Amino acid sequence: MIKAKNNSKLVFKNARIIDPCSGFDNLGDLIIEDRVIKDFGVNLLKNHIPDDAQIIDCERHILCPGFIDLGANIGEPGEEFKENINTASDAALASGITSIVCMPNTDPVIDQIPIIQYIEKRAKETNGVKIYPSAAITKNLEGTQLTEMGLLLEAGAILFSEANKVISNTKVMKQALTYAKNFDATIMISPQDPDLSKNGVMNGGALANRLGLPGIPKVAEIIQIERDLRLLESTGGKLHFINITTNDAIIAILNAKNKGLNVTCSTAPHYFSLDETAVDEWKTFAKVFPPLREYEDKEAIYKALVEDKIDIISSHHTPQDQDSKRLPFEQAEFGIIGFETLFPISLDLHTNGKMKLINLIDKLTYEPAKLLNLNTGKIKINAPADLTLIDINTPYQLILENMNSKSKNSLFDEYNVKGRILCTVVDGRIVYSEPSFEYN
Amino acid sequence: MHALDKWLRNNSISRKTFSTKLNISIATLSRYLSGNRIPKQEIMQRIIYLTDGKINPSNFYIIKNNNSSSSFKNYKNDHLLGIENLKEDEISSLLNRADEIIKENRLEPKVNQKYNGKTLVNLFFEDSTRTKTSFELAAKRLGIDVINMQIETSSIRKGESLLDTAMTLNAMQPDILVIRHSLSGTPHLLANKVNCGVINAGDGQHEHPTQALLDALAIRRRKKQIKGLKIAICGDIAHSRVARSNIKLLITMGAKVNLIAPSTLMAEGLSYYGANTFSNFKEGLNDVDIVMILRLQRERMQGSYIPSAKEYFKFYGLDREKLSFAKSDALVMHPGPINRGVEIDSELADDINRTLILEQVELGVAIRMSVIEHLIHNLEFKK
Repeated sequence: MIKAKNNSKLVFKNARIIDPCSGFDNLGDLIIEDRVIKDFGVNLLKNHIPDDAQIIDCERHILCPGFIDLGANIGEPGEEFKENINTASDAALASGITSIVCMPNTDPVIDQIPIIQYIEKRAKETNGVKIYPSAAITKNLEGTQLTEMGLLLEAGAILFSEANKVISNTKVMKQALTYAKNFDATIMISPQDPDLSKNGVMNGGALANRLGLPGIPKVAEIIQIERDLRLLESTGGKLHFINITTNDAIIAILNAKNKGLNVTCSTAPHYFSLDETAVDEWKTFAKVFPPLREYEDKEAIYKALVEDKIDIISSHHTPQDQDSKRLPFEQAEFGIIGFETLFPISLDLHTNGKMKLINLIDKLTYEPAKLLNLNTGKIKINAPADLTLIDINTPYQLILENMNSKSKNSLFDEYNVKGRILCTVVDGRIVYSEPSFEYN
Repeated sequence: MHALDKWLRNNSISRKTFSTKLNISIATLSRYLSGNRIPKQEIMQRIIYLTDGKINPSNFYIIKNNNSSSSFKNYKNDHLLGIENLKEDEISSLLNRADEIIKENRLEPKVNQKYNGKTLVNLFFEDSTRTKTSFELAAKRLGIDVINMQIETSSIRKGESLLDTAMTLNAMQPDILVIRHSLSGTPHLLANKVNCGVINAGDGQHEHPTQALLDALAIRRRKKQIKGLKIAICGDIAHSRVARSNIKLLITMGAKVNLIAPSTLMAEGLSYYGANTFSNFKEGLNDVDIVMILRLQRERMQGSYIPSAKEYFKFYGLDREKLSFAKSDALVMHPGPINRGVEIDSELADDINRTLILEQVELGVAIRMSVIEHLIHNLEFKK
């Protein structure tokens, strides 16, 4: 572990600094002072090395803004046996994530100010990853009555979401979009038509039929997206679709963007690295919502990311304990943990998909920062020093047992990957360093 | 190799020496070892005495089955979880033995002592009369002790108890666990956790392998062979585990399969197995040898799948007029229980010349005996 000499001064030297915001991608050095980025650039230390600073030799590894993760489940309040803010924070920091947006489908639901305050208090106690609570769009996620959006925003809500649900009442959805516009607030939807996806547990189609499982047809996604885009067109406002899984969705969202609508979308690594065959014979770890789709859609999502048609990659981190997964497939809970596989799995887009590294990092840093109006996710003088240092060359193996998340429901156990996080910095403070990472 | 042969070799005793000790001819001993004869009681006691109890009656009974049918060789699994992935010779093995059992049943007393001391647990998480009774009867005819567990639907709603229940039962060391559950894949989940043989007696909308096997047996007994037959399966294909198992089995055995259902009750992707799909009853029945009618669940008769039972019967219920589109000697099958006047005309259902419905029930016992024997044999072999 790295022990800081002087908490307020840190120097990262000899790093490949990548900042998608400015397009900076160069070998150089970076100085942190008083929680912010003091300076960075090529040959910065040539003439002057601050002697009272902690100096870290980055050995030409990648230094980029810390990742910002939309829509993670962190177990609090209500499901502390699956994850708590401490374990979520440890897992996130070990993954290079410095900010997370947590979902409102907690118990109780994040639809009132005290619950926002509770999460902020817990985050402060944990003093690790930055946690931005999202609040429910409707009270108790029931889809009928709007929450106090203005007051919740004042209390610290970063955006509004119904978690895995949608607002099936078209009028309520219209009101939500219209009302949120008063505060320039973002509405985030995981789009699956509720009637078509009711009781469904995996992708609808031939495989579901063979396994005798009720399916969620592909069309459930595009139907919801098209309705919500129609509404957005009439109301204006900011809409984000999280967990896009189908090619049709990409096309529809692209068309809406071309029309000038303020819409963005994101997907998660399992949707571009796995398909429905991961369900194999009722493997409940492959039960996620929305479901893993067919090979063609997986490929389409992958391609859309490379071609910059999807804005953001998020982990969709959903911890589930053994008792929630060791059940018949239909009874098992949805979800897969995602923090610690977020970057290593996404890096394939660069190594095999020929995506520029800076563009990949953009989807994990500056793009979500823009969506959330955060003054982080970029390397800029006087911006908060939220950074991560990554080795993208050395192969290693993902080991489920070694993951920091309290629940170990991942499908990526024993995957051979690259993209190990060496060090993570939040507000100028080293909050994680890889045990084997040696520095001068 | 016979266990006794192995014992003789391990103890360096020749067959000749051993037969002298038993006071029998070497030819008789050979017949014991090949399974063509079972030692009389007094000789059996000598064998037990001479081998220090290492060889006991069960060694002879098991081997007898093996040789008389020569079929056990082909079914090597410890479980019967589904028809999927079974090969033609594995299915034939199960059917052949059932055929033999039917012969034996007619000649011998109903209960024999072959598998005394073995235990079968019927673990039913879903209501069932015929399947459960059929398994119970099959086990009892083999001399197996049967425990029936009817799990109250209310207590399984939590789900957590499922694996716990199975582990508790496993600790009692049964030989066979027969499970029916409303959720697909449950028998597979349990099979990974328990040490005994697991038989799937119906899981959700996935499979019901013993039903498909008994259907195949019924067809084979009437039509001599399955290969080359044209078989129509009609009704609620989408939600039917019987249909899934039957499609897989019949196609594996070389039949042509037509699936007939209103499109709301047709399942996507079953053509994967090579079945043809029809929404027109008459077209689908053209030239078929066997018409299998599926039961229509009551809750699907109204609502969005089909508008009413009346409409369903008009277009998809089997009556003599529609049956006339099939071959003139076509036979009708139904897994039961029947909804008279919904999926099949009542009078037609009772026509023993055209339907195999009661025969199916009778054959169910034989096929289940065959499956149980196979699994016990395979489990013994592993020990």
